[in-house]
Formats: sequence, structure tokens, C-alpha cells
Amino acid sequence: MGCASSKRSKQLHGYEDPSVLAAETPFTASEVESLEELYKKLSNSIIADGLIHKEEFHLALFKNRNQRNLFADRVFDLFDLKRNGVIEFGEFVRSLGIFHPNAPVADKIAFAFKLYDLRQTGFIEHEELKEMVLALLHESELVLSEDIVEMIVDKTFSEADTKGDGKIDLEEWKAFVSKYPSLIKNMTLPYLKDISIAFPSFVVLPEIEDSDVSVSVNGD
Amino acid sequence: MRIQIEGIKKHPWFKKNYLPVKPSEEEVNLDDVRAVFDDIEDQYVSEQSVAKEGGPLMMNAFEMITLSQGLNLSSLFDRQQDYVKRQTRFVSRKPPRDIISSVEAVAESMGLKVHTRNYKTRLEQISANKVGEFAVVLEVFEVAPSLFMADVRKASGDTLEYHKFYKNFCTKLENIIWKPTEDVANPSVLRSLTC
Repeated sequence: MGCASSKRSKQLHGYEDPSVLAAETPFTASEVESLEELYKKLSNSIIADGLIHKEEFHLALFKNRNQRNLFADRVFDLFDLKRNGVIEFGEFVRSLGIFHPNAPVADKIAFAFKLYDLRQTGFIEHEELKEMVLALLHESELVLSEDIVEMIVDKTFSEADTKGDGKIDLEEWKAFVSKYPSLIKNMTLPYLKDISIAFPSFVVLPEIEDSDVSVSVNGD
Repeated sequence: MRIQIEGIKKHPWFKKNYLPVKPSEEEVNLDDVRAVFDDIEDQYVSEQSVAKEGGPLMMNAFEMITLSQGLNLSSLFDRQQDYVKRQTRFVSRKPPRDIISSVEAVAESMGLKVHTRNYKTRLEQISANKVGEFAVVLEVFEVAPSLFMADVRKASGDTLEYHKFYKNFCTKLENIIWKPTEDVANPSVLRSLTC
């Protein structure tokens, strides 16, 4: 009876029991099994080692393994909880859990803050906000003048930096998000609730041959 | 002789309340799911940014950043394998009402149906091979005084068709799209962070 799960543990690095992950994230055990399907696909897409490398993450997000993107890099780094350069299965599930509709909003707000704290100083600095705006413009193939970019950044920054100390701390960020809730819109993936439809977990189990199964009926 | 699987399946005990599992052969395309949820996501957000009197919604720097494809993890679940830029946008210095009316005029000239509410417009067309409806949503935001950004997204239909549409669309909108020439902001700072 235990052979299915031990087979899986050989394939997945950082494998944690689905019921443990289900207990510690908003996912059910069967949703975690569906995520295994997705994880297997992503983690073997370029290097068949069952671990998600940065290139494989880029491939999954942009369908282009060489796509360079500041924000994708930040997401990858935050998913890589152990900071060993790869996303393991447990890390994948726990991090995606934050994007579940049922995850606490406080977790989403904190995750977004860490995302934007590019140099992990515990604050979002003016320069970091400017870098991110420039990255977005670059990604969108939009060009704006230096003055306009400064204006956009200054306006937002001064509104968020209520203490006026030149940086945005978590408290200021929380207040800013409650003023502009759409800021954490992309911290929720609504169909994580229906993940088992897109990635049915029964596909994982081996075929059971008719001759392998025999059941006694009517006192045979 | 012991009963085999077929025998079990035929047994009335087994048939009671039994619904056979039908694994789907087709590729699950999440675009349409996403199109529905694109609006449902708003349910998780209680209010939009405050709009100026009769004007488009303001978009602050952080809201702009959330447009990034790198922050849109829904693509992790996408089964389509081709690289496509799903989100596209342009800036304009024209008054937002003019942006919307130009967009409507161009869309109509391209044979699309137009539904506009405030500064958000939906463009629709039954696609060429009648497989699915092709639809695009465009929304105008104010990013700085007299500077507006039109964010354009595919709502449903073929992604390649969307790409062709967008290229064509922008060509016809040249007179409202703003492309500054002097004093451009330097993206070289990006290289140190994205290498």
C-alpha cells in the first residue's frame, strides 16, 4: 500500500507528504497531488532532475528560457526558501499556498513587500521603486523621459512614505495596500481552488492490470 | 473463479452511484478560464484606485509594476508552449476621451464590436475559424499629469491572432501613441539586476 508514495519520493526532491503540506497550506491533500503533476512537468522541462531551476521557471512563465525579468527573479528567490538556487517541491507548494484565494491577506501583503524589497534591507527604497518602474517600462517596450519617470516614482513614494524617512517600511506598505487593494491583486490565483480540474492527479498513478486484481464474490 | 474487473463493473453493487471518470483528452486551455477570472479577481479586491472627477483611474508606480508578466504566475499553469507577450500597452498624451474614441473608431474599422464603459472597452470579433470568440480588453489609466497608459489584454481567443491584431491596431493608432525622443530614462541600471 505504501509503494505509490515511496516511488514518488524518489522522483521529487524536497518531497513532503501531501497531508503535511495540506495541513500547513490552504491546499487539500488531493490539490497537493495535482500540484505534484505540475511540479513534475516544470522541474523536468530543461534539466530532468526534478528540481525547478531558474531557466525552467523562466520557461514556464514566459515560454522563453532566456527571458530576463527582474520580477520573475524576485519571485524565484522568494520561492527558493532554502536559498540553494532551486525550487524544491515543498517550497513550491508552500509558496504557491500564499497565492491561494483562502490564504491570509496578511501573508500576501508581506510576500509582496519582500518581493519589492529588492536588496532585502527590510525597506523599499526610492531607488528600488525607480528600478522596478524602469523594468516594467522596459518589459513593455515603453519609453518615458527621465523627468516623467521621476515624477511617477516621487508621487507614489511620497504618498506611501508617510513617516517621511525616505524609505517604505512594512507598516507603511500595509497602510498603502489598504488604500489601494488592487496592489495585491496578482497575489491571488483564483483557479488554484480548482487545480485538480486542470491537473487531475489520477494521471500519476500506474495502470492497474485486470489480471492483477481479483476479488472474491459470493463466498467464492 | 474469481471475478475480474469487468465483472466488478457489471455488478449492481458497483454500478450504484457510480460515475465513470472520463479523463479529458484535450489540452486544457486556461485562457478562457482566465478571461472569466480576470473580472472575478476584482471580487478579491474591494475597490479600485480613486478616479479623478470623470477621469480614468489613476495608476501609481506600484500598480504599474503589477502589470509585469513576471508577477503574473497564472502562466505557470498555462499549457500553451509558444512564447507570446500576453500583455501589451502604450502611452498617450491625448485626452483620455480622445484615446477611447480613437480606439473605438479603429476597432470598428477592423470589424470589431465595441463595448465601452468609462475608460474600459471590450473589443470582440467572431474569430476566422469560428473556434472561439476573439476578444480584447483595453483600459486607460492616468500615470502622470496628462500622461495616460492604455493597457491592452487578450480576453479570449487565439494568442497568435491577438498578436497580429495588436500590431495592426497600433499601426492605426499611431497618431495617439506617444513616443518621446529626447531625454529618455536610462534603462542601463536594469542590467546589474537582471543578469
